[in-house]
Amino acid sequence: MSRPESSSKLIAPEDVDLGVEVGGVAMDNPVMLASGTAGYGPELADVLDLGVLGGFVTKGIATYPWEGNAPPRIAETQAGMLNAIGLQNVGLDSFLTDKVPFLQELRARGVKVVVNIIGKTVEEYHEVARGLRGCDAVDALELNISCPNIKEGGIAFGTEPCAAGEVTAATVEGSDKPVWVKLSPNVADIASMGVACEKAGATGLSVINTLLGMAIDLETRRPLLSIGAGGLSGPAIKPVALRMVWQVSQACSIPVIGIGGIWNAKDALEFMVCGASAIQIGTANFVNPNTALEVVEGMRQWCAERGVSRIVDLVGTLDRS
Amino acid sequence: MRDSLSRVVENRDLGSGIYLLRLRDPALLEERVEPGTFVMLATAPGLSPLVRRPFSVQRVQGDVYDVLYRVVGEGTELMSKVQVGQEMRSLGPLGTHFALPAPDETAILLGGGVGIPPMVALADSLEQAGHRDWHAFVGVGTAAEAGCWVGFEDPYEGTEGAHRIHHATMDGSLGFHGHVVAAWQDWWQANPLPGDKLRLYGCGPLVMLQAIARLAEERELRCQISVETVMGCGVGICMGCVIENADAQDPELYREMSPYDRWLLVCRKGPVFDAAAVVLEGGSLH
Repeated sequence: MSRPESSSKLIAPEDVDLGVEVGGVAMDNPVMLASGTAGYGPELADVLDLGVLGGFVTKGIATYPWEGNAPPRIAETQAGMLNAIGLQNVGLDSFLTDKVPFLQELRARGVKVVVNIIGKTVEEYHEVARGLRGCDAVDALELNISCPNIKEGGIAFGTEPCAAGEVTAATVEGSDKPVWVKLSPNVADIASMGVACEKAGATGLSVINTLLGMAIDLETRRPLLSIGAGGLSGPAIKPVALRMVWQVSQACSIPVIGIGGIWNAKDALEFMVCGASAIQIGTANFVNPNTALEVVEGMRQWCAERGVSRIVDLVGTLDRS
Repeated sequence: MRDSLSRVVENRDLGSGIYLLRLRDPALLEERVEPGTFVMLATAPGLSPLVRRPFSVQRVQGDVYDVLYRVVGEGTELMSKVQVGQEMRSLGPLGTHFALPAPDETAILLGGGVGIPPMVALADSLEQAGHRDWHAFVGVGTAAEAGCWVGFEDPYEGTEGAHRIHHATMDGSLGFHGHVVAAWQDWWQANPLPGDKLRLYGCGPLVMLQAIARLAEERELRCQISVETVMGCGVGICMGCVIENADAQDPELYREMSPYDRWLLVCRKGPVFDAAAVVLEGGSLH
């Protein structure tokens, strides 16, 4: 079947325009690395040429350093993994001094830098946003309101539309950059969460964070994670993520960034067809650090073979007729 | 480190669930493989198991490296079925390594079960460095199992320098009857070297590392251990493989340190640590 965005003209892969504009950030291609799956950059630079990325999202940053949870912090499940890292992070001051120089270099290579920010109160989110004002290494903020591992506060921001709106507004107010909000899937109606964040001034929605899950050892009858439950990620969650990206993109007018079990270019393109303007790769980085490179090349190839000259033309083209 | 493909040249069943996997990978081996470092191997293609598993490198010969592993779960079970000629996704070499002793120190190598291969790597390095003053204590369940952990040949077998490799078995069927740490203590009593002329190295089950670390502390011995935790990525991005920083146990040091440094990444700061630098007691490790 012929699609409106396709032409029968043969396109060379290098002529495919992968450029996208996402919530106030123009990127060379739609592929980003997800927060908490690529450190602050240097960790992965030995094995992946980060210059291939459209964008890079840092590990979550709080006003002060967090120590994270006791081990065991991860457990493998069928086609997925659970984590309960607890947002161990270096804190804002150390981020600005020690981590920003590398990100500045990355940005100079054309990769957009998004800083994921975390907090336990509305004031803390606001404080991090203010602390990053004027930092020219940063293109946008991504608000983590959904990390399910923190017992105090975090979960509430991600599950109540009013609380999500409040923390979004406080961050937008404190910041001079576009603010994206990363939504939790552990809610009854994710679309209403997206709507609340959009109303509060968010310019993009990252969909989805991890799904709360659990794994146990039958013999010892103990949970495999120290804190009991954790966040499920990986290919196992892709169908849930795809459904939520579609729902949020239908309900909201700001761009959606698709996240959840993306393993290859086909997965990434499916998210775009369901309404994502860009995508983030997470757990796949642990398994194959070159996934992002393969996704960028695979997208280009797929588009070329089908005569799609601009990848933006694919966004939200799901046919439900 | 290199994200690579290693080709299987041998995957031999040695008995007792122990296998010798030999992998050809010139690209990965461009970097020198130090004793104690590891590689992450995809034990099977596809999504199960999902993440690669860490394995210490026992020996490198030319463009081939050896991994000695024991079948303990789904991943290693699938790995035991890997055929010669197949390729496995690999990442390495990774992590910190054992530091060689000073010329006048006697190196004591303590290896238990899957902790034996890194000690083989260390013994090889000592020999290459011309440091002949070492003794290895190898702890296994039975004499039959002892023969399956290949690679620990005594280079001085039949010469005056022989008997540098001492076995300890839980059933007493070979060498010392009991734990490997007890075997070493027994030997030390018979060969009373001064503590400041000893350098301890250990790798094995948690209880064994705990025993080594306690002894090292009591007797003020210099000691490095290699620890194992559940690992996701091997390069410090998943932050799953942590162990507690010993400084965090000291209230004064804890007040001064960044909370970020309470938990150390085993894949980046380890797997080889000074025994006094990490917390092995208290149940946060399984």
